[in-house]
Amino acid sequence: MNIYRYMLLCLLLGICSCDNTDDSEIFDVPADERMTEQLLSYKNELTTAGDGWKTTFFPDTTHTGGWSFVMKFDQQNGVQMIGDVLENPEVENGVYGLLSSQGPVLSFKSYLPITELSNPSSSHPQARYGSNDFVFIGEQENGDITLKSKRNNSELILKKASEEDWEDIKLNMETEAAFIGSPTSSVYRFFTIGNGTDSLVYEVVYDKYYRQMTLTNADEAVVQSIDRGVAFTKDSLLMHSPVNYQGSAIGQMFYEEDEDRFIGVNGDVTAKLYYSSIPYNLGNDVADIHLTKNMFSYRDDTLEDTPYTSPNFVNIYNNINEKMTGGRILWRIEIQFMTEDEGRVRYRYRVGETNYSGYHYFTYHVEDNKMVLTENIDEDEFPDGWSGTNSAVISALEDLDTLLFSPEGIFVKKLSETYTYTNVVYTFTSAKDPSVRFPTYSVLNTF
Amino acid sequence: MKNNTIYTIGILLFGVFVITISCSGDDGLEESRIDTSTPELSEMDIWIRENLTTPYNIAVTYTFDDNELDINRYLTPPKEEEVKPFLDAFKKVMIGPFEETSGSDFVKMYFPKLLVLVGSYNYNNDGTRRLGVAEGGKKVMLYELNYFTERTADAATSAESRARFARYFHTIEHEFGHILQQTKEYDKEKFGAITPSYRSTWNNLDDQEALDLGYISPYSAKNMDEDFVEILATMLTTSAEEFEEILDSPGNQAARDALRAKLAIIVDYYKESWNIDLYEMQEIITEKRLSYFEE
Repeated sequence: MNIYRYMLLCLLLGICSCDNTDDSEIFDVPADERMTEQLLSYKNELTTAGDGWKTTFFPDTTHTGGWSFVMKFDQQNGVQMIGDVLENPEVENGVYGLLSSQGPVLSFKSYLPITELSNPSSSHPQARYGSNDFVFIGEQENGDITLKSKRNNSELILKKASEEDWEDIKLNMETEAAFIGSPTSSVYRFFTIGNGTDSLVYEVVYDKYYRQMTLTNADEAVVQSIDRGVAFTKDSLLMHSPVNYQGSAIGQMFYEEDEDRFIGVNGDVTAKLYYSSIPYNLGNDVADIHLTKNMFSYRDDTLEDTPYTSPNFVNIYNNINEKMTGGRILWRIEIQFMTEDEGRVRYRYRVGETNYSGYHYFTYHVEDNKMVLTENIDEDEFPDGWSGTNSAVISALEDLDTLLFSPEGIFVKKLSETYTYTNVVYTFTSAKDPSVRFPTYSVLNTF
Repeated sequence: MKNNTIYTIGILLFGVFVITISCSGDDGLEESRIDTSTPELSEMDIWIRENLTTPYNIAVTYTFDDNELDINRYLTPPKEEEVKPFLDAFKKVMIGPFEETSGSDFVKMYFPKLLVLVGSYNYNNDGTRRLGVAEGGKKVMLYELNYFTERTADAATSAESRARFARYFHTIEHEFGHILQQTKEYDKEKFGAITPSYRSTWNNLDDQEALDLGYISPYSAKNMDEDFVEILATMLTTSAEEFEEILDSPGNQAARDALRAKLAIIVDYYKESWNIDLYEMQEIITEKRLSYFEE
């Protein structure tokens, strides 16, 4: 009897396991065929746009602004692309692929302008959060194609481009240059938004690498910062997301060359970006010196391209190295507050693999919330204020050293951001020349 | 008992028969949907095929393929103008000497089967950089290709440029060294007893500190295998005189002795396991390198 049961069970299993009812099929064709069709359809769409496609892509909505690209695809998997990610945008040729991986994917397979967003450096190991692969999401009614970065789902929308777009994108860099200002522009810059009666004032710091603007409220007791990614057009800057004031949002500001400012208007609300020679609030971070921190170091390998390192400081620093003789290279500046009123600036330079230091001694005091360094001369130990430093080195350092020792003093500000290391960062800005600012790592040292 | 066995076999056979019959569809085998057509080859693809793949069994990936790379890292493909100069140098300075001393079969058998070229730097979380990675003795990933020409253009006249050139091939010698040492084992007990203070915090050492501990580089201090291939790679990317200078550079006799003791093990291993005289190999590579610079 048992045998018949087993036979019946086997029969049922056999029949059921091979049951194939057409009614349960959801799609007409298998998944791989559908994927192939979809990829062919996208390829056809991408390659038939006469002047190609354009996009302004924000690779990470929290950490970065946006970069614009214009690109044209051909049937042989070739792609031409220009982007406002490099100083002098040029059309580059490369290869793309259409793949099936987590859905249909557009992969930029060779080095193209958009690849620059994934290109890391020592100070930016995560590059600009870019991606080489983008998953197709779909085509919109207006013909736009929506994709998402495979790395972090950031949206990339391809819009049909015109012939002018290929030329206009080069002008984006001029708008960014106007936004950054000249190297000798003051580092103090403000963003105001208001309706003529009331307004809010923010200090502006721009991170060129990430194209991100940090707005820190300047006239309220509680310090708060908001970050805005920015992108550029041939005559305006775009903020992502827009800044709101009493229900009105401003997301685009146009450059007014005569006034050297950007203006955005929405109804009776106006937003402005402009320069000043002094900070809006002096603050009292200078009081920390010698109390909680007594050594402040600038090093060029990790601090040269922070948003707080002004272009004019970098110019002066580079000029020092050009003036240095005998293969000397300046690589670090340490401002050491050794006692309650005395200290020294240590300039560290190397020749080949060997390191040297030149010390310039000072006394210091705080005046109008600024740090003032005055040369300290000790007839026995440092009669010229220096520690037996080579005169050629002193001469090369002169432009920066003069600003540090100016009687007009130095603005000192503690940052909430850190760079590469966990040390609290303080900036030093020359009051004599407010285009010169540099960040420093702070420590409490024993001398 | 015997009857039961017969019944059981009968039932199983019957089941298989039923399943076979019930699954036999009317449709014959269709043509595969996998695209097996040969992709259109670029000039670079053809150069690679003619110069590396066909003669030496080495494939090269130089376009972005996230299947070959760590997707959590930020990496770029190499700029195409950097690919050929690098591979040309690889063929002359890396393959050439091994082919000359050990024959092309050795190259075909033991050289990495796949080179994955990456243009950008590859940063670790601790701020250090990965210069190359070998996987399973078959695949080697090399980074920083986008800086190859810029760094090595003046190699004929500049010692600094020659050192940078050597750095690229140090990475490959290092990774190739791993392939050989993973294929045939060296005397780890003897080697490891010489400088046993390996550490995960190797990156806190500077060059001289590492030398003074008996390690040829900071990375040597990471573990025994890295120590082994770092000494090897340093030897094969420097001239005999330069290498002697490095061996003499530790600040204490114990470290100098340790370096030479480890070197002796490596030299013996290469002779016994691979019939390669490393001193001769060093000389040939130095000649090939110099003639490459002078081209």
